[in-house]
Amino acid sequence: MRKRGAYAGNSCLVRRPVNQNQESEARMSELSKAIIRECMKGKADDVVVGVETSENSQVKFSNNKIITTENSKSTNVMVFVSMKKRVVLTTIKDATMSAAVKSAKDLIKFAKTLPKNNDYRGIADGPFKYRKLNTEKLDFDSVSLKGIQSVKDAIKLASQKGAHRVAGIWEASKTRTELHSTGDVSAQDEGATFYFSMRAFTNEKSSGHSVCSATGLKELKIDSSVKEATDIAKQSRGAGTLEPGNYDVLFYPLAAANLADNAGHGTSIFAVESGMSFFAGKLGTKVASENFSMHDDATDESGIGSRRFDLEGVPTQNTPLIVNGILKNFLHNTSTAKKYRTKTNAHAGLVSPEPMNLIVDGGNVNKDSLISSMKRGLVVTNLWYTRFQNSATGDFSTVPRDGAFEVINGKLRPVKDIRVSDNLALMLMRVKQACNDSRWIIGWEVETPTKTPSLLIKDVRVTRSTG
Amino acid sequence: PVREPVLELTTPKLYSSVDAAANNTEFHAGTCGKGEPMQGIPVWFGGPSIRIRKVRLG
Repeated sequence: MRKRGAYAGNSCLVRRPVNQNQESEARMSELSKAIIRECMKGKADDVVVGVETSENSQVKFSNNKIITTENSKSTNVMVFVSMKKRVVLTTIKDATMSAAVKSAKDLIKFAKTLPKNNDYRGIADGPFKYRKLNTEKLDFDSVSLKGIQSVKDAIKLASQKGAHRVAGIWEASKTRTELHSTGDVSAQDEGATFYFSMRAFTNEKSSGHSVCSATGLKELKIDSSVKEATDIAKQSRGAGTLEPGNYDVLFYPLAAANLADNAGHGTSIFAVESGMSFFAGKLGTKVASENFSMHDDATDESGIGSRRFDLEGVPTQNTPLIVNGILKNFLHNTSTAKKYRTKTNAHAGLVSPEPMNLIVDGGNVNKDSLISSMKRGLVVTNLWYTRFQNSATGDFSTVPRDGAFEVINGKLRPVKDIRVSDNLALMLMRVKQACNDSRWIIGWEVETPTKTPSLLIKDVRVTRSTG
Repeated sequence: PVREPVLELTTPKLYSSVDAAANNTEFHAGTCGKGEPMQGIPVWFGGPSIRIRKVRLG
């Protein structure tokens, strides 16, 4: 439920005393219970209420200047109700008691009008024990001020390293989640997320992009991101055209994460059932090269998708998805697991099970050494607008953005105006090498926090416009 | 019928290749989005069927 960037509005920098925090937490607990009581009065069978309260801080910069700073607070209340297999899910933005109780009554009225979902098989039965919370104590006011200074330092560093202009964002969020259900679940979670993104330009056509994210402020490697973005921008000056054809392509982590995130979403049983996954019917079979392994692990607290429980309160776990090329698991919640006679792997999504913290196994090859050894190939640092022509088969295309480079005998030549037009299912089969540079990636094009190394994929079809 | 033809053009080439427009204009509702922070705005888009000449499909 921890969504980066869930903004409800503006607020001044306000220091909240600790006792007000406790009062707020008690109120959210009472709100959840009141919603459940109201739904049960209306003859609901199962109810799950999740309340997420966030404090967010954002610093945006463009043309080497800070242009916006914003601090905001938001509260979102998720309510899931089933009534004789009539299933409905909504989010309430007004977290006052009267609005929440009214919304619960309206939800029950609406549920009665729905057709039955005969596939629905219930929610998790608690109570559960959860792993210990390791929450950094955050003074959000001082964090916001640190964000402004961090951005100023980043802009200065980028200029020193040769960027003519830079743009991007620094964000911090502190989120508290409270979950209650009629399955005897009562759970709390807290956490912080930090994110930095910079695009650096050395002229109008030469750019590099880098991101970093962390669950602790000290772990946010802004300087490394600044260096990477400016290095790529400098290298991509004077980009020329590239002949279309098949190339061995080294996808940097920002680009590889884009592909892995799309593959990860295909492991949701919802995607499989709705005809949106090229993994359908392939459980237990080879779906990737033996050099590719990926798991989803919301217990890994270095990833900003980490959480103690899923959206029905089941404690999160490490779920192997693809191991040495073999598809091991689909993502399930309690209801879908019962349908498929297996156990939930704590990926609710009460409607659609979802990945939370995707991790692609790294290798032991240095990226620069790998490039030096390439006789002919391509380096792609970023991908944008990855879209499927057919999700069920895996046919898709995506646009290399920012620096892209042809490799000839280990040397880089910048190129532009190319597109990767291939089949993602087949590309996974052609993963030749994973490097040793794994990093966490999140962003506009990478919805799930994804930790991935650079990946070398053979024979990737690269096209360019025909006019 | 053909399956999954690929059209990859630059915008100037697309628009300069149009040599006919039909009279079946349709409009659709949608959302235009941006990230950081995620924000969407309702948009309205559409037009008629168009014919483009002499473009290469992949």
